Amino acid sequence: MKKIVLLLLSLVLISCGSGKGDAKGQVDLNFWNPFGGPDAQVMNNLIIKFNKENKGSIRIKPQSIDNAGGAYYEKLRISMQSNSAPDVAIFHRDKLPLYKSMNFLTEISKDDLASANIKEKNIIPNVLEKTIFEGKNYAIPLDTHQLVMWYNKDLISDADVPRTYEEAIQKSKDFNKDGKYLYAIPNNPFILSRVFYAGVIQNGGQVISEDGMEATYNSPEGVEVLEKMVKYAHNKDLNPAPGGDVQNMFRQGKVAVINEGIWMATQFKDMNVGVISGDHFFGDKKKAMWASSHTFGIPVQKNISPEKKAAILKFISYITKNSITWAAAGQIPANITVQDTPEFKAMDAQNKISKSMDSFSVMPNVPQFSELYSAIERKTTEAYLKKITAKEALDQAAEEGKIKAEKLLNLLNKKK
Amino acid sequence: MQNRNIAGWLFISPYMIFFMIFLLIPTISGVALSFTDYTGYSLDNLSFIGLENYKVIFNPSTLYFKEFWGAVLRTIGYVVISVPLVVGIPLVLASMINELSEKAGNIFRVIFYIPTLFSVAAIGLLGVWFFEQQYGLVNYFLDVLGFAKIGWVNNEISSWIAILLLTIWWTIGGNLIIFLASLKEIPKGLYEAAEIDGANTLQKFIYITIPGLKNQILFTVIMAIIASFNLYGQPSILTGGGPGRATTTATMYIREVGFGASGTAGLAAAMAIIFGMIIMVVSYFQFKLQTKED
Repeated sequence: MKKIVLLLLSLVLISCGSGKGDAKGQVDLNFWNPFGGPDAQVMNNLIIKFNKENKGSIRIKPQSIDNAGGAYYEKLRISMQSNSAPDVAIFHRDKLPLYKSMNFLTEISKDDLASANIKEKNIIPNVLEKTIFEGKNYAIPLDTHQLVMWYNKDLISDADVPRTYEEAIQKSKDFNKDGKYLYAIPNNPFILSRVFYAGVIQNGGQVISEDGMEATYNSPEGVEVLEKMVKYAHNKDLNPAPGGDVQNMFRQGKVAVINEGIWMATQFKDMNVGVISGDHFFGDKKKAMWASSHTFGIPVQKNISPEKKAAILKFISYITKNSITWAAAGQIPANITVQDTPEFKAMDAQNKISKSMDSFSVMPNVPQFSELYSAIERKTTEAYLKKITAKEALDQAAEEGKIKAEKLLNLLNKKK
Repeated sequence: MQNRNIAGWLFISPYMIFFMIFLLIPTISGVALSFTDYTGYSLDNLSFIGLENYKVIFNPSTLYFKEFWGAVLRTIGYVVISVPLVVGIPLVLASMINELSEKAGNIFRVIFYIPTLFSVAAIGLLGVWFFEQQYGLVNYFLDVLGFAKIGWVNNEISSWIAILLLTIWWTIGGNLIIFLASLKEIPKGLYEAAEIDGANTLQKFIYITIPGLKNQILFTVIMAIIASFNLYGQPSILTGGGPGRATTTATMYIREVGFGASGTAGLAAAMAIIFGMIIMVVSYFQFKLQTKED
């Protein structure tokens, strides 16, 4: 009997021992990212190149975790909570405020940036500004991606693409026939809610209050935008039946202009397409495009040696400076110097949108924003499907957001 | 004697270890956490708040009341519609296959059983391509037959139909096998006697087959009720709970509350306890109802 117990115990012990036979002096870095498909391939190719150039000193071990249903961020949060976080990770910009306020992110100081030769003046200003909290930098932007308006050049010339809502109605009269439509309101909740986000700002409204404590997208400016969207979607002469897959209709040449991400550049590459910014579609009070960004963050570690931090920064610096192949995957490099290369200028869509840099509107910098905005995808969809009115949808979203935001702030206060 | 005891424990230990880690401990800690303000982030600063979470769930003026009970009602609606179908269709199919020769019967048995072997993730992903609007299989056939393509997951009713069709296709095999095996036990003489008395196929089905399979039907109905109450994977992959909240089931909503940024895992635990009790009560009455004649 004893023998069996001993055998079992030794099996357990063997399986616990991990191979730690790393080369002396080499820094191994675990790098997590939520990329999949072509994005992951581009990133992995960059990493292979980096590892080759730094053979014997730094080795990046990438791990891609699919973010379906938010799984990537759940895993990341658990890892940070339990002190088993990766050395460096990709964070979507909108996740930074929450993780910063939970003290999960390592500050990246001016000295750090200088040592890795990363110059703040080379980063798109309104993207960089959203990685800075209380004057301190907590992440380095890799790229920025926004919602733009794609048009099908086989159906329409650049000059005929409607720049405003009123123009869309006007021009549809001549264009819409034989089951073809000029423009369609997005049916995808993610796109719908973010086109609305930009619309509120374009129409002179604010999505949240000055102090960041309350949603203000249900202001008259916001309601007007959503009402316009719903009205357009349900007008048979203007829009295909609401609920239909607008992106597919665009691919089939049934809709000439749609709102989609700049990241669709790779997916639309077999089509003859162009982009416009669409940054004053719902009003000309302020130009705005919804924008987000992939950023590099350093999760807080128990103890991080100076060598390790230097290696991490070297890696980040390398990727951001060589992000031209990343740009080809449908992103705009946050590093302005990369935008000046001839290769980037040859990427029509990305190059064109990068010119409207001032319109990039990255979501606000407070942790409760994600909560204040949490119901908006669902509620704008319900309004779009005419289950409730635009006003009801936005009021309900604001109310739900407020409750969740208060809970989050209580939680954060408790943690401090 | 003592040695034999240890051996016994060792044999049972793999099961017991998994049972404790994945069922017993989570259940007990779930009950315990439902009385706390557990955030889901950490156990620091955990405080006991009594029945506070339960009060929230039963207070009609809270956001969570409306959302939770809305999700529960949707789930109950699904149970009421789906259970007769996921038990009834295999039952009818089984009695039809039973009439066939053994060879033909085996072929159908395999055809119907294959989907059951897939995991819910695989089924969900297949479902996405069955019900995709432009290139999906179902719409392809609708198109060939001259009907308009349907945006299945874009509206409430068609989303539920898609989920239901997918679930029926997935689960048909399991119940079918149970019914087929037990149909062999019903004495052929009963059918022959009924035929002599002039009973038609429907009458034979109602008066001989169904009573003959009473226990199997009871078992499959209760299993189907529990599975339908726990509906999660199919809508989560196929519709993401949308459009809006239209196909968000109770388990999906509980997960959302538990894993959200705002730290309401204790509340989610309380919801899970209440929902579990609802399932237990329904199963209990179903059991009573179906066995009361004995």
